[in-house]
Amino acid sequence: MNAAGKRAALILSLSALVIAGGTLAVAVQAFDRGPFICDHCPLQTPRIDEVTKDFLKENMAAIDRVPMLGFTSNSRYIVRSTDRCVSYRFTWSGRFYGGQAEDISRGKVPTPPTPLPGAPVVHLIEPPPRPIPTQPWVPLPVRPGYVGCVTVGTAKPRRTLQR
Amino acid sequence: MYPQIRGVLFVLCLSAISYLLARHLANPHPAIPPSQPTRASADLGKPTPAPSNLASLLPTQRTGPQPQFSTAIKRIGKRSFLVDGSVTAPEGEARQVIQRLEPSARAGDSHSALLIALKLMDCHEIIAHQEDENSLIADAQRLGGLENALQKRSERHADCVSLGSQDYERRGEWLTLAASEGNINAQLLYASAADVVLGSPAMVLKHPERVIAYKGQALEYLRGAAATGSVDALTDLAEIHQTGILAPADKSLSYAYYVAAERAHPAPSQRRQIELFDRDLSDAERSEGLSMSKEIYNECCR
Repeated sequence: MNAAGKRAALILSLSALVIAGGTLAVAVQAFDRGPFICDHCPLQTPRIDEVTKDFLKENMAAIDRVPMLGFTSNSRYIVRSTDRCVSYRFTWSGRFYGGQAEDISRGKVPTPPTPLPGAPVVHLIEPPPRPIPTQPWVPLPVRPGYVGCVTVGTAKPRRTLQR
Repeated sequence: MYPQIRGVLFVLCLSAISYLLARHLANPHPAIPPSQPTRASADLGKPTPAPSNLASLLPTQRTGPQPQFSTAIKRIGKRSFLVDGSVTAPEGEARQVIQRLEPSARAGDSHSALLIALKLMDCHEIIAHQEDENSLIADAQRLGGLENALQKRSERHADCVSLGSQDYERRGEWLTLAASEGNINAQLLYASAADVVLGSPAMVLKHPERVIAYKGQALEYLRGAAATGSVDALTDLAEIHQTGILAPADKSLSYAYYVAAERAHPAPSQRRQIELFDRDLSDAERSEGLSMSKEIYNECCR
């Protein structure tokens, strides 16, 4: 192998080493994974129940499945069901345990910040328009000898019997 | 010139493939799971002697109430039971919660000791993960908005800010105390939460002898819990002998624990493991496992 070939091989080897090292560093880093949605999981804590454990084992990151390597990552899996949310720690012993269970509050509208004193009030939703003043009732002009019957929008005069 | 460009392209392609591979390994896609169980509650437990390193937490002479076992369980047979239902840390300012629970915990109330351990564990998680984006996303989804999530996070952080590193170092001691008093949930948690009991990797390197003691103690708790009828402990022992981390790997013994647990409380996950073992084990190993499972079941659950 000539000098140029040796140099190319060295560069390629070093590059591969750096890439492999970087990949390993990313893989071994402690990850916070999720939130995973599991509507049927009871999410028992701190003792993980069998249903949630099966769910996590099915969805576990491939790197966490590698014995010893995965266990060192000390990863955390956040799992949500319909009514609660629990984060499970995957420890060195290759086992899960749960943290605090948090209830899910759906449809809660965020409270708007209180305006500073003197600041102009900005309405995000326009206030309702002022009501239109009603017109006073005006009697329709009826010719002498007629009486009228008024409905909405129309007037139907009828002739009375002349005596 | 051409070979150099080809080399650069090769390195770029290798980088892209490595990056995509690492991303795929790190972030699997969620899937939809199977069924859900029912819930019930009762009390049970069996005290075991406290390890010697708990002298600072235990009173010199017990004058308070006897240990109470307030962990929720579900009876599934004459003797066998499952831990059912969650135990969560009390809400409120951490220092006040600990001060409120500490007298009863020191007097022998294992549930109070477990609650203190859980509060410290919860605060440790909050402080350690206060910058995590994923947990913030989860909180925002849970609470219906990013503002609510940030507000909740600051409230929870304020609850824990009074604690120091010395408090967090003691979370393992409180958990060990609760387990030694016979709290079944603490005993099962003890075998899972190695990081809580042993501390950081630096502490493990500093005191490697603690690892040996921890492994022995975890196995003792699980065997004691299994002897009282805990099916969870049977499953844990099966897993431990399967993975070979807390205890030496033993296929026949792991199979025996799975069979005993499945006999006490049939569950799909245990059935799957037994089927895997049925394909993997030799006839001699299977028959040995089956005879051991009978002994285990008779001791545990009959």
